[in-house]
Amino acid sequence: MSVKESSRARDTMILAIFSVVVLTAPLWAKLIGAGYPDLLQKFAIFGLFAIGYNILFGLTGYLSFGHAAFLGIGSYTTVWSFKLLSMNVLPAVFFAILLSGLFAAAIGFISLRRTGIYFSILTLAFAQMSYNLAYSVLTPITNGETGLRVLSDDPMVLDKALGVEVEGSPLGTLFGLTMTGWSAFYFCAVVLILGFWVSLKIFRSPFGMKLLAIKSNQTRMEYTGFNTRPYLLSAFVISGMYAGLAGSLMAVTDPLAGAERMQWTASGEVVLMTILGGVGTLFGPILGAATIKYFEQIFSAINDQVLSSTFDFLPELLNQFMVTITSPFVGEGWHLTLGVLFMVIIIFMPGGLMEGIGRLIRLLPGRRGMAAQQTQYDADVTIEANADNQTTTPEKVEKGDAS
Amino acid sequence: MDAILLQILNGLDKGGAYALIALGLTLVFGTLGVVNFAHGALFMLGAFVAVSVQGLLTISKKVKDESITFFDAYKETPYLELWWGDIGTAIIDFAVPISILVAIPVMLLIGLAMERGLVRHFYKRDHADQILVTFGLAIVIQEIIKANFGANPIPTAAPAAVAGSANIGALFGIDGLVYPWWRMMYLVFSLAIIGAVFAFLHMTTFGMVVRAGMHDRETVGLLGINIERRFTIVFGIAAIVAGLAGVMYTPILPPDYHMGMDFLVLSFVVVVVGGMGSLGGAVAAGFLLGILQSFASMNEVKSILPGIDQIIIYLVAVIILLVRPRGLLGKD
Amino acid sequence: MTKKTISTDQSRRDFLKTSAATSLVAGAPMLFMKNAHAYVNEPKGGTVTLGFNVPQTGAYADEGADELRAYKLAVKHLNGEGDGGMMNTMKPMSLKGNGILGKKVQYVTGDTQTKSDAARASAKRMIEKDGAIMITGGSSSGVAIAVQSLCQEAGVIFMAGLTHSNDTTGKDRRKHGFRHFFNTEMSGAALAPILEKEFGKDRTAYHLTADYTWGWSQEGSIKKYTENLGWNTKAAVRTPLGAGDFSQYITPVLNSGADVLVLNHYGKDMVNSLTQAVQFGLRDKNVNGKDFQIVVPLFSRLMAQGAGKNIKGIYGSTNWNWSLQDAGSQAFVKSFGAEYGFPPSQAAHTCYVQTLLYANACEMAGTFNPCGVAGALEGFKFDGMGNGPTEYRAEDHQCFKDVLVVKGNENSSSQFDLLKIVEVTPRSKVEYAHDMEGYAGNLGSCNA
Repeated sequence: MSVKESSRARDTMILAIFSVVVLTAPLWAKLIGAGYPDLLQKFAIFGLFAIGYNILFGLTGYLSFGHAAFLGIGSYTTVWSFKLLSMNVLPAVFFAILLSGLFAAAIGFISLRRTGIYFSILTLAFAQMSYNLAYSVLTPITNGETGLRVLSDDPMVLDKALGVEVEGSPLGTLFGLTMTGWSAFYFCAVVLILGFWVSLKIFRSPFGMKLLAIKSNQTRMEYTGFNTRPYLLSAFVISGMYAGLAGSLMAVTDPLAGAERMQWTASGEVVLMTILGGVGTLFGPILGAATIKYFEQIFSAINDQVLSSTFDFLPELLNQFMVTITSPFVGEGWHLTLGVLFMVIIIFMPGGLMEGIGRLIRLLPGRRGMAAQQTQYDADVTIEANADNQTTTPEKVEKGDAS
Repeated sequence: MDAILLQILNGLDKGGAYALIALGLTLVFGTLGVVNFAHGALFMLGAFVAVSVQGLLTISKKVKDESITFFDAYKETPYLELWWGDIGTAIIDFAVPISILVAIPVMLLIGLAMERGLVRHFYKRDHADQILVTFGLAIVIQEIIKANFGANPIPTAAPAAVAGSANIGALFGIDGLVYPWWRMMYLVFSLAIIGAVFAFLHMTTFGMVVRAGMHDRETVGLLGINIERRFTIVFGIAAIVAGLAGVMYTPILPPDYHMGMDFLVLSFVVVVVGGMGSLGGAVAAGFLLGILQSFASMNEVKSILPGIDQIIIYLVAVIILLVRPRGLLGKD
Repeated sequence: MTKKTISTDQSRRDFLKTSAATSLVAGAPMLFMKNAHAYVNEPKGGTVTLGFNVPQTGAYADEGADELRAYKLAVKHLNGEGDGGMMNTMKPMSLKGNGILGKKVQYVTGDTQTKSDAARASAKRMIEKDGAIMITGGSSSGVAIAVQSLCQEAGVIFMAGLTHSNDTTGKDRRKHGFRHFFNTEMSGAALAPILEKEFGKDRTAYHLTADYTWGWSQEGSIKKYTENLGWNTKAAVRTPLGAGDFSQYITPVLNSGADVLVLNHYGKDMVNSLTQAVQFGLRDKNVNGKDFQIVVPLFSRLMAQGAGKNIKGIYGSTNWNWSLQDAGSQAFVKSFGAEYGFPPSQAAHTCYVQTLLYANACEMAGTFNPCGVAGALEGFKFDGMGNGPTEYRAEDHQCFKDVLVVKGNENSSSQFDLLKIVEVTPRSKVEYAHDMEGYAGNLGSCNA
């Protein structure tokens, strides 16, 4: 078996395992209290967002602080497609990807004229302008603070033409299958698997290799007469389209689009997800996204009532003690736990969660199992990516003189 | 005419504040190469030094309000007032200026602890790691403050003598030109701090070594100079500057635990527009953005360009970065 | 082409079918089974679960914490623990102090972060995972409207917390959503006569308005009522939400010729803009031969604390204040004070009342079925809950009751005594038609 074939077989195996893990999520997620449709949808959607972001950040090292703009554009486009055309999700998703791609092309074209932190601030500026305008003066298009929703008296010309009637609060459909609950999750899951597959292909392609080369030394690439801009712009547009797709899925599973999806905190969140999971790894971003969403939903919901029943097995006094020392970290304190988690992970595992997993695997005796091999493989990518980071130039900003 | 003058004055005032808030950030980046997302948290901690000082000064004798039986309601009289009468009242009145003195050692300690305990290990890591770890730290600091002081803003007034407005128009024979004392003091204060930091880096041996160390840490190290320790001190100075910016801001903006995050993005924009690591650039960018923001908020401008006040800062940032690749005064 | 109908009703049934189908495929037991349940999350067994969805992080975290305290207190009282609070004064009342319909009340909590997306995600968790039969809470209108429409789709009841925008029960009203809190229309109607009495008919107002739906709603209402008095509106300037420093919007006020500044801001924005306006010497000014005045149409005691002494003498309106002397308010303040050691905020009050009203409606209807509960709440008239005789208007699910006009207390007797009640504007003065222009909406139909 040639090297190429073996790597292709390995990729197929990775994809197969990934698909199984994603599709069986409703089973295993129950064990950690996450086995309900909305959270699993969020895992898939933000996983997709982070995978896309990783194509830009992980491969090229360009740190965008404005990807939430594309998320918002995807959501708004989707809701408008619902309102004007049809509740069918396919045109909605299509237009969302298209429009966010166009916006990404425009913003990327301008922002990619700069590197390092100057690039980051340009993307941040565009996203913040989008957010501020969407919240206020663009209210006729975005419905401002309340958010854009589908109303039963919207035109929906395609649905009307085909004789599909909508009553009450309309929900997205896929040829009659309503996009809510588990059906919506499976739809997102399939899209996530497709998105993962595309990302895998990009990572393995010559295109991906060129992006990594740009990351490791852009100046050298340019000296050799290689024009990096088209490659960078492609990566930017692709990741913008992923973000648009994620935004679209948010609106598909819940037909509402709000401006706060474009805020810098939302852009920052995807950066954190990617770094937390492991920049430049295949699975890391998804893992990071799931971790943050899990904290947001599950940790924030733990209150004293829940805590004291958790520690029920302990004697009264010890129970109270445990409740007292743990309660600052859950419920309204979930932010605190998240902050501590960020610090601990990045201090002890520079490559994010994926590096941690890689280390664990290496500790296992006789790591032969499929899963072990796959994770190991991914962990290797992490380490490569980290090795790259040491010599990265584009994101290393030249330190100006303190004058 | 007076309207224009007022907006210019307002722009300068805002600019001074922006420059001061951004100064510490640019100092740390310029010298240590660290992208410090916890800078906003330092600013907020400074403001809470003022809150704490005010709280300590106003520890009160509580006289129970007997008309309320369902819970304990008190009418509070600070002990300082009880003991020293008017002098006590005056001391309380000067809580914010006193906080400036307190903030210097407190913020220095916080800064040193942060650098020694955490940031130092991240000098050689890439920016992404620095962002994640300092962002995590910012959240932790923020949540600790929230747990102790609550989420609501806490009123922290300027001394009564300077809490109101000055009729500065009267000096020049222009009617209607009044401006708050405290805001004018903030402007002067920020210029003084900026000048001091600048002088420190350029006119002292210490500053020279630090600047040399920025260019070539190893060579300076080989000369037998302990550059690490100097970097630590620079971080401490940056923490003091951020903290003082926070203390001085409390009469303008009643502090709450989230104020650091609110200013984080703004301070980054100011620093980057000025040119990362350039102190002069940060100051120039601060004033430029302040003045433009002030003018963009005028009704006359808003009626022509609706919503311009919402985006002006970002719009200017984009234009400047496209015209000048490294910001206003940044070097390639 | 077959004619397809996507109704909410059907979509929910689809949802259940898919759930059931998936559960067979996945082999996991699902939360809702069509056959076993007549409506979403029908309580089986001895308990019923309510979902308390409040801001725990962000600018309104303290308000959210106070709401949560009120909810916990309400649960206690419903389950027959504690002193019973307003269950001693509410009338008519069907509650028995043995939970709701004999089922012990449990609750789950979640963080809205004052963001629509987060609030909906949290509400969905409560409905899908925790089996909540009712969702309540919130500290902003955007969130309330977003969660309200979610509850309509999901088939559970939403009892709004603090939300002041007209839209919540105006054009965005829903069959499943109910609001006890007042709105900007009522604030305007209640404030106007007091403003006339205190400041006269010949005034020129300058508005600074938070640039989003609630701000516009309030600006519109105040403008409408003050212009009816004969006031002029000099300018209405929109300010970005969370601007922090409002000085660049305040400087143009100085020489504009206006003699009243209306701050259509809430929360932190209100604290900041008021503090800064006072700093600019506006309150010491004399314009057109009149003392310059500042008005803050929506007050909250929690936020008033942040503005410190700047709030003294400033007029505004509020839904409820702990210093009210009626039996209902006293009973509530007493049990809240005994439990937590300080008085409840207006947010806590409205949340407490909403929980009791919901529970009472279940008892009246004899079921948790949202259609029955909504039916019982519609047109329900009650008293003894702190606002005098109150009615849940059937047409828009808005409570109609007296509105408090308050003033920042110049002589507070304690740290909690910040607002002084100037006037209790009777319900008749603040009532308006449910299909008034710009307010009309469609409730839709019950979804169970």
